[in-house]
Order: sequence, then C-alpha cells, then structure tokens
Amino acid sequence: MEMHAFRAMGTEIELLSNGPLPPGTTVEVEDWFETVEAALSRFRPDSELSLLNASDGRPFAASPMFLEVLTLALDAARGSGGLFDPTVLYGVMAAGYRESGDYERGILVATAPPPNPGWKDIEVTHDGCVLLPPGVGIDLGGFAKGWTVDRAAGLLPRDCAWLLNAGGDLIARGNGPSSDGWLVGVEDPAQPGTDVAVLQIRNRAVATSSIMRRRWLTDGGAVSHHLIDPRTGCPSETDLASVTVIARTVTQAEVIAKRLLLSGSTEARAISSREHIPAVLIDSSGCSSFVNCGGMLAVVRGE
Amino acid sequence: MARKGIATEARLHVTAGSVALLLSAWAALAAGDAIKQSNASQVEAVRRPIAPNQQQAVRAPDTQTRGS
Repeated sequence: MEMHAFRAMGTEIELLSNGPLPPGTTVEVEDWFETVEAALSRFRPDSELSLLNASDGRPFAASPMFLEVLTLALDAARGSGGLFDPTVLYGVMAAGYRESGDYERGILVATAPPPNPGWKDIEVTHDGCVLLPPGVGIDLGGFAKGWTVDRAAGLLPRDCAWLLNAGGDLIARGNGPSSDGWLVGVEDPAQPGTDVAVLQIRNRAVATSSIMRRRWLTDGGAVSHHLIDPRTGCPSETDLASVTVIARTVTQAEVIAKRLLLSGSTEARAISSREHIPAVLIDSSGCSSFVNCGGMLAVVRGE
Repeated sequence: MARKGIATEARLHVTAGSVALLLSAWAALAAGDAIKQSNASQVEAVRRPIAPNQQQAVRAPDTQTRGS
C-alpha cells in the first residue's frame, strides 16, 4: 500500500492507495487543498471568506467556487432545520477560539455570545454577489474540509482503490488493500489513539464530529469546545462526545454528524433509526451505540 | 374472634401486597422486553465484547476517523 501525507487546513491529510498513483496526482491534491484553504479559511485575513465577513453588509462579488460552497452550506442549513448553520463565527470566537490552534493553548478568554442571527439572513443575488448583514459572520470549518475531500476525489483515478483522509473526514474507493474493504478505526473520544470500533468501508465517506478534541478551559474556569449550538450561540451542551456517520459524500456525513451530535443521544438514536443513517454514537459516559451499521461493522471493542 | 379477625386481615394484607409486587414485576419485565425488541432492529449493540476469532480475522485498521 502506498501512502502520501501532508499537512493542510490545520490537520494531517493522508492519501492511501492500493498501488502507485499517476505521476503528479499527489501534487494536484496538495495544491487543491491549498487553493481551498486560501479562499475559505477564517484564519487567513486575505481569504475570500475573511473579506466577506468584513464586508459589513456591502455586496460582495464571490468566486464561483465560493458561491458553490456557500450555496451547499445554506442548503445544508435548510435541510437540517438550522442545526447545521454556517453563521456561527462570532459564537465560536466568543467561546474563545479566535485564532488557528487556539484550543491547544489551554485557557482562553470567553466573552458573552452575540445574538445568533442565523443562515436565513444571507442573500445570494442572481449576479453572484453575497449580501451578509452586519454582525453576521460565516465559519465554514469542517464543512469546507469535507467539501474539499469530496472534490479531491475527482482528481484520483477510478481504476484503483484509494482512501483520502483529512483529519478524520474521509472518502474511500474500492475494496482496500486486501479486498476486505478499507478498515477505518473509530477513535475513542476519551482515549485518543485507541478505537472503539473498526468499520469496513467501500465506496463511502465517513465523518466524525466531536466535542472532545478542540476543547479548552475558559478564563472563567468552564470547559468549552468549538461546536456551537446555533439555537443558543454557545458551545453545545450535548451528552454525546462524538458521532461518526457513514454517507455517500464527506459533506453529507459531516452535516449529519453535526446534526446528530447537537441533538443529543436520545434524539440522535431516533433520527438515525428513522432516517436509516449508519452512525456510531458515543456518549459522555463512554457508552457506544451502533445504528444501521450492518455489514460495515468489523470490530467492536469490549469493556 | 378477635384473633381470627386479625389473622384474616393479615392474610388479606399479605396477599394484596404480593399481588401488587407480582403485577409490578411483570409490568417491568414486559416493558423491558418491549424496549429490547424495538431497539434490537435499530440500535445494534452497546459495547458487546468481540470474540477472539473475530479479532484475529481483522487486520489493523488502515486509518482512523476522529473529530477534528
């Protein structure tokens, strides 16, 4: 098995393949990640996203790529009933997460959350301009990363097996290195580096949403994290530690995982069952539920 | 007469309590079974231990998914 790794979007990117990839493929993939990060990162002051967030209500002429991502994000907000909402920028900043890597610094200063205006206030005009009301800020976070992975898959050959993993958001093609599928460990959120289960993935995408990784103490002594509940503008008080979802695209898996995590364990189980969503739900006590995983569940670790 | 009355009252009290206990236990069992049956088709497992042969049949994971 071949493996190529690089760093982008604040995380490790792995490209695994069941044999050598065509020359130039890994460079194309790296360049693609850099292109998207340059446009959509809230941590880069000259990114399209940062310029839009500073537009103060003035019409902003967005690039076709930006419009595509924004439109998909707004569709996801609509489809999730607002549980996924890209306008959480000022909420996550108020929680203390202002600069890239902040959560690794231990104690962050938190301020009162701003009113959360919601995605419905964003307007995209017919000529490709975005109207973002003053006081509304967009954070595309994990959504943009998942979208980047989905598009990067189009750069990879269709006649070999490969897996592209961007910090836990991944898409896999083919039967894996041993024809038993690609084996994907689901990290135990309480014990990073260990797995609670192993999934067998073929031609599917996987995404995990967790409140345990980007986590810090506030100056007020409270434990905080980066997953903002759009209904409150504050870090979610969910009883779920992490949610892993299997879907056709990383973008879909990412949005569903967030929606389930924000819903809490009881509602998440009900939603997953009702909507036939393959999901691994791990609550804050360490109890795992496997919903609709069927033949994709290779191993479950015991107590 | 009084002793007979007391004995009768005691038997009634014990009987009623036992019936109540049995009814309660039966209801709990029935409810638990119903929950297990409805969950079985949807929520598959909660931390069940894996068999040794199942562990050996699966190689080490190729990668990992985690929150980011």
